Amino acid sequence: MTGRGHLCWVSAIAALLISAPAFSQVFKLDSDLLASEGGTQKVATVKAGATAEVLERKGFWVRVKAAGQVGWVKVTSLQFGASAGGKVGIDTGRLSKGNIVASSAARGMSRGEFLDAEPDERQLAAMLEFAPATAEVDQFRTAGGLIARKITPLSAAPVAPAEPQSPQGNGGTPSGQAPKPKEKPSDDW
Amino acid sequence: MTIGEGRMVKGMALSLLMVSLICFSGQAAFAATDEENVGNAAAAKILAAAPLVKDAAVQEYLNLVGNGIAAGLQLPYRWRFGLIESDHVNAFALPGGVILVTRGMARLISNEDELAYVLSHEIAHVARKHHYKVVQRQRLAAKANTALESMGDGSLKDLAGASAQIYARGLDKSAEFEADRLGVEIMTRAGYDPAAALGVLDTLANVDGGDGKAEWLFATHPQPTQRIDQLVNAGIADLPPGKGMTSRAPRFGNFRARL
Repeated sequence: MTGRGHLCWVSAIAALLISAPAFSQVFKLDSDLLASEGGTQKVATVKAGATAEVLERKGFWVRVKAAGQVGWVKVTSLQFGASAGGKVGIDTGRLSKGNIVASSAARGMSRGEFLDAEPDERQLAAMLEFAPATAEVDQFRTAGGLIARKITPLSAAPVAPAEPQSPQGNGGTPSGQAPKPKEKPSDDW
Repeated sequence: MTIGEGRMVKGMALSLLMVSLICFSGQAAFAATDEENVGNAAAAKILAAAPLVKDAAVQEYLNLVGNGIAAGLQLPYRWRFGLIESDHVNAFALPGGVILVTRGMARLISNEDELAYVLSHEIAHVARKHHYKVVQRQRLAAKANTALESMGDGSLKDLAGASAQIYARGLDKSAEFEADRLGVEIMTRAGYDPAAALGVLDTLANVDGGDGKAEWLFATHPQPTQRIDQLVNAGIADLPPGKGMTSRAPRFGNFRARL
């Protein structure tokens, strides 16, 4: 392994050992807390830089507790990566620590097990058995209410996490509105 | 130029054209076959460590969701999707169109739209040839490495051994962010709800980082919250929401119940 490889491993292990204090996110913008997702009734206004405890998310709206108030803001108001590593984000309630077992009890495929394995061509061939016919795929999509659509591609430009900013005097955007990415790529599939 | 000389020049030009065509077509055919060989070799190694889940119903469902997404892309791949026997939380994109999802990952997913995001992220890796390009670069740059030199011979074991290292190390962060962004585009074009991507990343953000089941995933991917920020900054909240989610709920429920 190269020196860089060692460094990567050390960094990865160090990152795993750091435990984050909380699920807190940070407001990127001065934002109105709303009584309902997508609604107009304002509960309170929270300043950029304030921390938010995220309670739940529906689509692109997040219910947060901030400055002693609870309300809804759009995801564009928050910086989710503000916490320092470890367990962060929206607690969806789908996972509890009780669902996680020790790695020694986990079946199959740690990196070491993967690297030591002898290739199994029969398993690969078996995958072909499950390839559906085009008509089956079409029927499946129709039954699931899936309709192909055109969209405007997302911005390809790497965007650094926004520094919290106030709309007053620094060109900030109105509450709940993130700065629009300017560059739109052409990902024409 | 005499008539004879003219015929000779024309003949030479025709020969050059034919040679060029043969070389070009040969190279194109080799490239496609080689990409699939590299992917198949790595897939065979993953499947040796974690075989396919022995349940035709779950495998068929996964292939219907995956092929339903990939069909709209019209890329020259023979897409194959497999659910594999592993409690670890991970998914793999293999060059040539093989996508593998662990049972551990599938258990974290709460609806078909979230599954569509996981598969679309992996489809984007294949479409952008992220892993295959690393293989190609290493072939050029690491001639002294015996394992990589032997990749050209096409032996399954050698191919698998060399390409496995790429999966163990992971890709650059930029490739993962690109797969997130393109994955969201792909699933949205297919009709799924783009917000489901945030649902998966929310869930991954709540997986205990020190738990061994997600160690490989976390060591080879950016933090889930960074991935959420990248998607939000890229404009995911401007995409149209999905429709018909309730009609997809029963069939996903059947899939989920079998995991």
